[in-house]
Amino acid sequence: MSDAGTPLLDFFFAALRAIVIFAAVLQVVPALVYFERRLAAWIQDRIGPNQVGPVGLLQPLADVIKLAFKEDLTPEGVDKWIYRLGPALVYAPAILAFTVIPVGMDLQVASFDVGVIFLLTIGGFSVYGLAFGGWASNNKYSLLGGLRASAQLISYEVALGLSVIAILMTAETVDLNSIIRQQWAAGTAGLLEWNLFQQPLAAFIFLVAAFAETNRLPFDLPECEAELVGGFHTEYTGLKFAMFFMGEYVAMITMSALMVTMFLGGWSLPWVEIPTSPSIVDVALSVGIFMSKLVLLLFFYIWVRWTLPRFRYDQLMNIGWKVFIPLSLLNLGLTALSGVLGWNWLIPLPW
Amino acid sequence: MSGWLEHLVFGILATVSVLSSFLVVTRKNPIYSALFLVVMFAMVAGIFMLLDATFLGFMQLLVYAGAIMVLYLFVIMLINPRDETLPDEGGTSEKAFAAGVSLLVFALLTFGISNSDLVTEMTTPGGIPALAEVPATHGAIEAFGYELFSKHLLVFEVASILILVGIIGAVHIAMKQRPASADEDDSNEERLVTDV
Repeated sequence: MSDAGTPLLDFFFAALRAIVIFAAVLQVVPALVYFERRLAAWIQDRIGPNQVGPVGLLQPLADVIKLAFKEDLTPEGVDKWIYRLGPALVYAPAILAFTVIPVGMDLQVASFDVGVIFLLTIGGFSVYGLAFGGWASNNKYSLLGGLRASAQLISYEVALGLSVIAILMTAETVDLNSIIRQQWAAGTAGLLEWNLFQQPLAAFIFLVAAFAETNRLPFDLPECEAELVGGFHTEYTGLKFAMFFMGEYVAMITMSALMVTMFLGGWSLPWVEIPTSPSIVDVALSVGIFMSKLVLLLFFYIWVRWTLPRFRYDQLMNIGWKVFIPLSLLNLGLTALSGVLGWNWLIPLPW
Repeated sequence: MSGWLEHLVFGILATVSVLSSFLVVTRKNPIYSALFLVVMFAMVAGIFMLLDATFLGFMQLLVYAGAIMVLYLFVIMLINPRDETLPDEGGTSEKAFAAGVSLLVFALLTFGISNSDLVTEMTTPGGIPALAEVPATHGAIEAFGYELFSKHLLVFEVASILILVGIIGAVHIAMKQRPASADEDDSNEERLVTDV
């Protein structure tokens, strides 16, 4: 999308992309919260929020107004600087990580030559927000929540990174648009060219690790209400709490978007030719395809949340270190071996 | 990037990194030290990126700021230092001694670097002919990988063995703490409390 124009024009387009895409991600959050509450109600056979506006559609707006007008309490004995820094450090990395996600045909806020590594690096920074927020609150439950968060996030980051490396090895690039094109490129196999089917083990590990990285059930131990009140955000109110909350949802969107990009073919459709010089309509269509895949994956996230019970903390650590990391290493080894020998170890296809 | 902008960005990165490293040693509370160390890592990563070494810059962030410092922070939070419970730091004589040693190291490094052949070559106009031949992608992952796995393969492998030894050592130390007869299922209840 970066037309070779004057530097000023380039700057204008870059700014426009950043504003539009970031604003769109922010708009998805309230919609997602509404979606989640309605789905949760549906799964649990209740009605859910249906009073504010038609079928409860204005409920997120009411929630936002409530959060914005709540008194912003700062409890006594907190470390003021770090207490304020916490929510920002959860929220900012989550939205920054979205920068490299191609939401449509070669359409992203900015493209770096380190691509997916940028996303993993920046996304990993949110652990500081959780840890700092938990520590600064001067509350033992918050501290335990922060500790759990940091331990959990680094444990699962290893498995997540290793599963991504397997993809990068087969793709031989870190550029997300190229990874999408490769999932389409061979063409003939169509759907089977998706990394989901090419690298099912990596896809499974990535999915589970993404749940753990975003603190979603069944891995939401850092804010486990039965043991820790609210975990790291117990002492936060009003907009500071909202920032934690939004950071979590944005991280969930970013992780799902990465999953769509790396395993589900991103903005491409199997069997549908990718035009070399896309028109505006093509780009709009590709954004639509990406969004539909994203919504399906977010639905899956919510579905899992309201279906599976929470793990115990020692189970979480055991699964992470003794199952997922060895599995991802095994997958890495098999991928390397298949790369050297030139065969596909999972699907012995004739081509 | 055009000349003056590059200088400006470098100036900001360098100033903030020096300031934050100063704050790392002067803060009493280790949480703040950790925080400023992360800032320092980010600034150094920025300097790497300014030199076209984008991959190295992000690796610096991913490994040091994203992983190692989180572990440090984890340990610091387990100790849970509060301003009122922290012990007093050493007196002025001790601080002066530490400052003296640091200054000495700084002077040595400055002297060494400014007298090195490389700097003399670089500051002489047209000193390094090879510099013109460096392609713009010399910091990209591909170039980085080729360099690492061809020229520096032995060093790379030795470093990997060193890390492996470290991991085995850590596992060994951790294993000693656990009673040999502990049954996995019985100890779960107890570990729930101690495992955070």
